[in-house]
Amino acid sequence: MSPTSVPRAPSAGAGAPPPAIEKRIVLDLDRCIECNSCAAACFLNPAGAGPAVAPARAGAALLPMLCRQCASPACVDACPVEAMVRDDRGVVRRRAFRCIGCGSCSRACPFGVLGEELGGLRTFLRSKDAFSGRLMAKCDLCQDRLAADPRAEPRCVAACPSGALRFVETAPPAAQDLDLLGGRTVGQDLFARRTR
Amino acid sequence: MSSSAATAEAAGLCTLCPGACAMQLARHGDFMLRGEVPLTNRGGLCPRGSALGEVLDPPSAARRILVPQARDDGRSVLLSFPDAVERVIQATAGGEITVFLDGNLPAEQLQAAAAWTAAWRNADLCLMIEPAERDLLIGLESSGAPYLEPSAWAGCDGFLLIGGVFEANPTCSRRIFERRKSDRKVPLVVIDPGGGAACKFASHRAACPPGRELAVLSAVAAAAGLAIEPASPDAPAGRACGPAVRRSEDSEVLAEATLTAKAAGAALKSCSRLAVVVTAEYGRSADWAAIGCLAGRLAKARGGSVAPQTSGANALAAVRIEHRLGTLPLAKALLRNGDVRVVLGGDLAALLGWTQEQGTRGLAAAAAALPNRTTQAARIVLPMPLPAELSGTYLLEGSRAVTVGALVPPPAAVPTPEELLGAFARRGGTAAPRPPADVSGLLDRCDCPLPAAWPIPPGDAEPPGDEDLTLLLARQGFNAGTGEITAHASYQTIARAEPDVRLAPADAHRLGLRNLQPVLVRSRHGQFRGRAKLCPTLAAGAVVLDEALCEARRLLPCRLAPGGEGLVALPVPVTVEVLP
Repeated sequence: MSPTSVPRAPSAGAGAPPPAIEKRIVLDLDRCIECNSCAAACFLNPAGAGPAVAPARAGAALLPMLCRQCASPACVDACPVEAMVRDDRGVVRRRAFRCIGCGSCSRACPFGVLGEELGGLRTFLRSKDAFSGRLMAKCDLCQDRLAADPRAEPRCVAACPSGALRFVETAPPAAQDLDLLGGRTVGQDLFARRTR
Repeated sequence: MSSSAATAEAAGLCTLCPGACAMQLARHGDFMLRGEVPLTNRGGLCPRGSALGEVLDPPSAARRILVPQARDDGRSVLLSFPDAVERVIQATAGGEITVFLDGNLPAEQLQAAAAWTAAWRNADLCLMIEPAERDLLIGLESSGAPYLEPSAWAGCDGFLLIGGVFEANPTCSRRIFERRKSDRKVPLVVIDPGGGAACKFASHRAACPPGRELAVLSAVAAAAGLAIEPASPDAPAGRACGPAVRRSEDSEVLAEATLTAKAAGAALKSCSRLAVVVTAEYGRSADWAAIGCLAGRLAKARGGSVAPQTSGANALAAVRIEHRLGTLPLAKALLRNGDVRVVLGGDLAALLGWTQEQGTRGLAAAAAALPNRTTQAARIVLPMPLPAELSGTYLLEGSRAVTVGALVPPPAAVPTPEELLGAFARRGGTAAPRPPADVSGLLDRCDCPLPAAWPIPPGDAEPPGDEDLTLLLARQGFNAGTGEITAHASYQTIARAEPDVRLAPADAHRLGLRNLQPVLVRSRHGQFRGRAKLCPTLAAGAVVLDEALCEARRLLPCRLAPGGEGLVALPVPVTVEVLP
C-alpha cells in the first residue's frame, strides 16, 4: 500500500476548535548550562521510539531543541499517513504504527525541532526494534509518565539539574509568573508568537 | 519471572558523584525493567545518572558482566573463581603485591580492604582516585574551612567557582541560580581557563592562562582581603602565588589576569558567607593542594565554606581513610616497580592515560564491573559489582555521611571487592582480620599536612615550544561521565563518537577553522583527532579536550611530583591541524 492510499483518520482538530494544551515545557535561557541531561534522559526513554530532545550542535550554543506543541502544527498537516495528530489533550503526538519515517514532518516544522540532523542517527538506532524500522522522533511530553501520575513531569524536565527546563501551565504568558532569572524563555516567546 | 509479581518502583540515589541525585528503577519482581529519572524533579539527573540506569539494566546490551578468565598467548581461557584466585597468587611468586582499589566505593568496602591488606604481610593497598582531586581535597582539609551544607547554599552572599564545577556536578548550578534569583547582586566569580559553562553566568570572570589557577586565585584572595604570605622563607618571590613566569609574554598575560582578578576579589571583599565551589581536573595545574588550601583559607576568612565537586562519590572518604589507615598514595604505589599489581575496580590505565604496553607492565589481575582498558591489559580478569550494586556509606553533598542502599543486588557469582580481596589474602596464607570498627570514626575530618614539595618548582614544567596553543583538559557536559562505567551506555557511545576539540573563535579564525570541522591536535606525546567546537567562553591560546578520554590524557602524561607524594599533569603546547 502506498503511503498516500492510507485512509485518513478524522483529525483531532477537524471541524472543531483545537483543544488547548494544559501545560508546556519552557526553557529558561538564563539557566541552561548545556549539560545535556535532558537529551540523555529523552534518549533513554523506554516508552519512546527516539530522542525528541536533541541538542543543537551547530553554532556556539548547545541548547535543547524541544517540540513547541504548536496550536496549528505544520507537522500534522504535512504528514501523508496521519501519523502526526493532536490528541484530545492538545498534545501533538506521533502514532508509531503509522509513521513511515518519510521526513515530511521534519521538513514542515518551522522550528526545526524534528530535523533529521537532530534525530538522525539516534532515531535510527533507537528504532531498530520498532515496527517500521524508521520513525521520526517526536516529543509527546512523556504521556506515559503523565498518565501514571498527574504531578509528574516529562523526563527532560525532571532530569534538568539547573532548573532551566520547566513544565508550566499554559496560561497567557503575561499573567504567568515564570519567575525567571532574566525573563527570557524559548517556550514563552514562541508560544506568544505562534499561537496568539 | 513470576506472573503475580507486581511492577514496583524502587527509588535510590545515584552514587557516581557526590551530588546525590534521586534515581528510580522500575522492577518486575527480581527483574529490573529500566532506570528512570524520578517522576517529579528532585534535583535532576545528569547524563551519567541516566547512563547508570541503562547499565544496571541486565537485558541491556550495555551491561556485559565479566567472567573469570585468563589470557594465555593472546587467547582467553575461562576459569572458575578459585582457579583465577590461584593464578593471581601464583603470579606473585611469594613476592610483594600492590592492590589498587577504586577509592569511590562505599567506605565499608575501603575499610574492609584495608583490614585485609594490613593482615596480609605481602600486600599493600592504594585507594585510587583522580590524582588532582586527591591533592585538592588534601589542601581543603588542611585549610580547616568547613564544608558547605546543602541548606547553607541559600544563605551565601558570594560564590567563587574554580574549574568546571557545573560540568563536574550539574546539580550545584541550581543552588547558585536559586540564590542569585533571590538577590541578583550576589557576586559570582569564576576562575576557569577551560571556559566551562559557569563562565557565561559569571558576574566577574578572572582571566586565567592555562596552568595559572593558583596565581590568579592568589590575586583574587589578596584583593578580597586575605593576607598571602610566602610558602616558605626560601621560596622565590611569587612562589606562593604559583609557578614563576616562564616566558616574557606570560608576564603580560598575567598582568591582564591580575587586573580582572583584582576586580573579582574586590567584589568578594564584602562577603560574609562566601561559598568556594571547586573542582580539580587532570592536566590543569600542578598546584591543586595549594589551590585547595588557599581556597579554604579564603572561604574561612570570609565566613564561608567550601564545596568540592569530585568526579566520584567518595573521593573525600578515600582521602580520609588513606590518612587514617596509612594506605599508599597512588604516586607511591606506582613507584613500587618490583611488585605485582592487582587492580580492583576503577580503570587505572585510563586514569593515567597509559598505552596498552604501559598498562600491561606488572599487571597480574584486574577486576571490574564492565570491560575497560585495565581489564584489556590484565592477564587475569575478574568480575566486580557496579557502584550502585553495593550498599554502604558515602560522603555526599559536602561531606555529609549518608548510608546508601544498593539500587539492585549484584549479579549472581559476582563477588564484592571485600570478598575478592579476602579470597586472595586467604589463598596467600592470611587469617581473617579482626572485624573492623564502626566506619564513621574513619570519616571524620582529618588534618592532612600539605606536602613540602608543593607547589612544584617551575623548572619541572614542560618547556614551551614554538607552538602558540596550550592544551588543557576539562570535563565536558555534553558527554558527562564518559569513563569506565558510563562509556558503555548507548547515549555516551554516540556522544563520544566525535569528540570535541574546544577552541576560542579567535584561534579558529586564525587557523581557518569552521565549527565542527575535523582537526588533529598534536603534542610531543601523541596526537588526537576530533571535531572543532568553537567556544566563546574560552580565552584565545587554549585548546580543551575531554578529560575523561584516555587518548586525550595521553597527550599530557602525568609524572611524579618531587618527593613522590603526588602525580602532576600540566598543560602542554600543541599544534592544531585542519583535516580535509
